[in-house]
Amino acid sequence: MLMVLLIHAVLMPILFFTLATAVERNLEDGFLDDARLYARVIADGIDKLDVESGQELVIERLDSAVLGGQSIYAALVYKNTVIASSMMEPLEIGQFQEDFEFGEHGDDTYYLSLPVGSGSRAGILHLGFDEAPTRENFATIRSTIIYALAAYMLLVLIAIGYLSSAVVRPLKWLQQASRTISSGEVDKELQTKSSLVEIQDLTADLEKMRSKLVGMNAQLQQEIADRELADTERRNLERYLRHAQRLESLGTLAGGVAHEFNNILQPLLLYTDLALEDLPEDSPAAVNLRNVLDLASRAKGLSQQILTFGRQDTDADFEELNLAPVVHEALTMIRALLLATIDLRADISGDIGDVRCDPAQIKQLIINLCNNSFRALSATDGYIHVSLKEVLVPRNKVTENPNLHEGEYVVLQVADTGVGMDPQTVERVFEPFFTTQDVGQGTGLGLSVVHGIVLRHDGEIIVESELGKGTTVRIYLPLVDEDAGENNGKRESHG
Amino acid sequence: MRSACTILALVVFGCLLPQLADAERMVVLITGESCPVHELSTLDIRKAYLSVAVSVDGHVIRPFRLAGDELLSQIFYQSIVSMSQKSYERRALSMAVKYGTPRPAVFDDVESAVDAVRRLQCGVLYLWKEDADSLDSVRIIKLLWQGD
Repeated sequence: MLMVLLIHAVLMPILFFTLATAVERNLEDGFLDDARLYARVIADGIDKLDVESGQELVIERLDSAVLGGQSIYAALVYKNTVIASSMMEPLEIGQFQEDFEFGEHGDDTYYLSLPVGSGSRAGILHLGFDEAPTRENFATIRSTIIYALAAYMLLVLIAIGYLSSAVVRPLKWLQQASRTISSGEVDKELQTKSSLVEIQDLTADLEKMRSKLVGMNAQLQQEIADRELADTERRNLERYLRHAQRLESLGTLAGGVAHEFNNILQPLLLYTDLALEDLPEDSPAAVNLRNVLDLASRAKGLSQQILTFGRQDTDADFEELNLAPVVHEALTMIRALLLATIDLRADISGDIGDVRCDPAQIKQLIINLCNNSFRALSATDGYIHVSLKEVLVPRNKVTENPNLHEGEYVVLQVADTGVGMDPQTVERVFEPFFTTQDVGQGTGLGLSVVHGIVLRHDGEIIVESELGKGTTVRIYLPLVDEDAGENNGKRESHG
Repeated sequence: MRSACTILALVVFGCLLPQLADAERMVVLITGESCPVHELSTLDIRKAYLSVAVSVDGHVIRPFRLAGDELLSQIFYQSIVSMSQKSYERRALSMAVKYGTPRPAVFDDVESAVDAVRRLQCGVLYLWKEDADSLDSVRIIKLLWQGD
């Protein structure tokens, strides 16, 4: 727009002078045509007159010449005398200066001369024409041209203003919007600010492109989020699978060894018992055999725990019941065993559904967990909190723990405010014979047995721990579906 | 271009002005000695130079023009054909087209023009009187312009 104004600023003076000059040339030519033709007519009229005998007639013709047209001077030079119109003062001989161009001598009069008569009657007709009217026409023309150009310039300014608001400004706005979109900011809606249909169409097209871009971006982000979620689930599953496989392998191996070991212990216990029956109670041999019997019994207990971890024990006695009384009984036993300084808190809800379980194994499970918590608390002040409640497992919980299924569960939670564990320790807590206790302080089978029991009940165990803050163990046991007669957690039996 | 020519003409005219005043320069119309025409009216001269066929006593008048002398040309437009240069050019062309007569031949130098006047019977040419006085085989038939 500035360029257009500059072009017009240069063009206007050129246009003005060109137009003015062209018009003035035409006016000058018209003036010359009129003056010369008029002079010729006057000269032809005087040409045939006998000047000497008809001087009055000549003066009449000269008067007529002055009265008509733009002639302001008319005189006949005849034999060194000047016969002039009676309506003006004649010029002296020698003062007359003939013009051949308009305004040649700057005296506002165009003088010309024509010979008239011939021979002894020859004379020279002098005529003068007023240039002022033509000059006034020049001024009028110049004013008209200036007004026309000013009007044109005004129209140009109006047009520029209109184009600026209707075209340039919206285009700049669209350009800025396009740059904003290209920089990644696609949320701002494009709205036209022009009355021009073309600009509106362009804006609408750009808005369509932006909308598609927004849709594609959202779709892309959703795909990325879905893929990240899938990756997370996959990694969780892989980690869980590796962990489960390792525990399964350990369980199979330890269970096999424990089974064989148990097969050896059974006759050992039997024969020792038989030998004791044949000996007097106070004989030294009987004392030794009773020691053997005690040690073999402890070994049998250990092998039984290992079998429980490997889920190879056959003593389970499942029944559908409310866990609350079982937990109460277990806690009563634990309170009797724990030091009086240990704060054992219980939050047992009786309003829960039944689960299919072996109450003895559940008691064992609770005792093992509380024993672990007690050991974690031994060096610090704190408490053990046991709770039992019914929960609905949501879908996101399922994705984090593949053994859980969407549905209702009874959750047994044992939490302590003990020393806690680091993530590496948490990763290995279910491994048999893994212990953080000093040598001789534990067998490392407590949580392994718990794990085995939970899996035999088609449940899930989740351990959360943080060093210095404590440990929380949650055991999910599927609720029995009373309508279907099966557990509500939609999982297949693990056998 | 025209302005430059005008300025040049004014300069030339300005230079010549004192001489004109002294010599009372005249422009005359000449024809060949063999031409029986002894006088032409101003109207006939204008007709001839506007490409209108002019015949006097059965003799066709053939007009010639001289170019190159700006003052002479100005006198031609002002006193002989009595119109502006632009009007003359336009009028002469339209008359030539209308009547089918040739336009006046234009010569750049006096010798060529005078030679044409001598060769063609009743060829007429305007030129300065002092030039005409020095020529043979031509005669002056009309005073066209006289400077004061």
